[in-house]
Amino acid sequence: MLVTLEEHIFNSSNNTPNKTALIHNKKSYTYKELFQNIWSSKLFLEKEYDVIKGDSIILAANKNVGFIFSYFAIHLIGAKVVPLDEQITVDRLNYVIEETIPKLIIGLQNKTNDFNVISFDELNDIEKSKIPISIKFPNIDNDADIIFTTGTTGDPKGVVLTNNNIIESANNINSFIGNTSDDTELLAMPISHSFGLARLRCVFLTGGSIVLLGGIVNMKRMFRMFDEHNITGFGMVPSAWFYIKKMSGNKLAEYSDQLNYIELGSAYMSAEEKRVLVEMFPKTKLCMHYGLTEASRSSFLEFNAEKSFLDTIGKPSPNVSINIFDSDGNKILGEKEGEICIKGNHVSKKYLNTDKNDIFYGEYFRTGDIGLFNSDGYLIYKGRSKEIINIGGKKVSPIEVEDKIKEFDKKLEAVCVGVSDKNGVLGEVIKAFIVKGESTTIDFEKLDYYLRNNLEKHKIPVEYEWLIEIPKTSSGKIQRQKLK
Amino acid sequence: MEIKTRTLKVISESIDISIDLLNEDIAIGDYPSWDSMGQLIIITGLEKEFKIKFDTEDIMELEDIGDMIEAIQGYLTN
Repeated sequence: MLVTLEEHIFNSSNNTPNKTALIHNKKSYTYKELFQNIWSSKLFLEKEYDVIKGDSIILAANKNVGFIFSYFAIHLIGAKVVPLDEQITVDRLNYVIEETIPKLIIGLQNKTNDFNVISFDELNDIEKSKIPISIKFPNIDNDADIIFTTGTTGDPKGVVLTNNNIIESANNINSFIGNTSDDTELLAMPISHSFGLARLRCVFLTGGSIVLLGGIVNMKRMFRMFDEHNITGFGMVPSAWFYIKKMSGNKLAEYSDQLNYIELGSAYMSAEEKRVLVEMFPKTKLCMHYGLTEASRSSFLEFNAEKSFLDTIGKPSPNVSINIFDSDGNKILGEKEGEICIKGNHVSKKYLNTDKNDIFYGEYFRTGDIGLFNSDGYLIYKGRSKEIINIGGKKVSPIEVEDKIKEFDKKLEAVCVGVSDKNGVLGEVIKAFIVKGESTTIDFEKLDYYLRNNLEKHKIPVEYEWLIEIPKTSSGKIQRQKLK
Repeated sequence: MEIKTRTLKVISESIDISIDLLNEDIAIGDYPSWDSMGQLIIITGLEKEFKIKFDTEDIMELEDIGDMIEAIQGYLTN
């Protein structure tokens, strides 16, 4: 029978009480200490702030152990966590407050004074209570997290995840990656974000150890952590990989023999870049996921074992079913494009405060992403449906054109969007924005000639424009809509 | 303008922090906007301001503003 993640941590605190669970700065917590802090935070929140089952609590921090203790404590009470980035704008915070009506906000003292706001320091100083022998854990079907999507289009949506969604997802991820209680993972991503939070859950589910760093900005410190704690697992988004390469060259490869796994995800990575990682880490499991907040890690690709399919986003994760549907909600068979739809116990059932009933086709969650399965059963991602450019009825994925521009010159960074056809004939035509770096030079005639020889005519951009920086969400997703 | 003032100006503009809040002891990551993206903008900005190119090994050693000023002085005298 499935039990909550909190129960797993409780079991580890009994079975392996002295095993290291968490390290932050110079402080280390065993599983017993981890659960004791969680339990004490639970009692404190109940007693001092009257937190009860069903309440929503905003938690905002990127690298604070207090966040971790409170996160699980709130679940133990049966209340819901609304994790937020500590750099959230005041406008957006106000929006989230309006949507969730929180009982308490932990962190963000400098951003709002309307509410019951406390600092993490208050939680860090509480008296530690003894852990009881048996505990009543929350129902597996309780709502546990409300995660606001970064909103590639429109207003942010609050995605509601149950304890069951969380544990199922963590199980699926661990089954694919194969991490064990012997692993020590460096968590350098913000813990308030979906990716970082999920890494935390996955490690605690296996009874492994996690070293909390919170950011990779100080590379020297990051590598010091790799050495000091003999790190065997790591997670990063593609832009972090870009940063690591720029700041330290190939130094990460020195840890190739030490690293059992690296999880990547949240944004697009070219097949060429994946090959670079394969060369650097021939023995490491390089697992890249595709998923959404609503359906975390729905497919996986392991670069070393699936070298021939680096231009795909892999196959459905363990216990996950993916099908392609047409716009009428019919399942499409064969290698044809359509909307990627996902079924599994990890999938969120609802958004906060909406009765939208068009988010599922039967049991399949509609991602709004376009893709197809190739003949080998690998999923090929074609773009967001709203980003798909419609040129006189012919659908074009901007990614396809961007890849061709990169193929022409791998140093170029380009983003393509659909803009109105000035001649009023085709509806939309393609406009390419190219990032103007300090040393970027392009012979547009040669680029145009190359694209004409490598793309169908309607896919050739009719306009080019220089761009200083590609607009991206905080998780690194390109916001093409902003360039329209 | 001396190296220190120019360095502080680049950092201040790159991460949108008042120059009065910056000194040699401020380390990377001390302000939330000084994240990996902020550090990339600073490095690129300093390279442009002083017409230098940091070696990868040197970039790794830049842990605070003092390190940056020292490294730039080294590049300009060699």
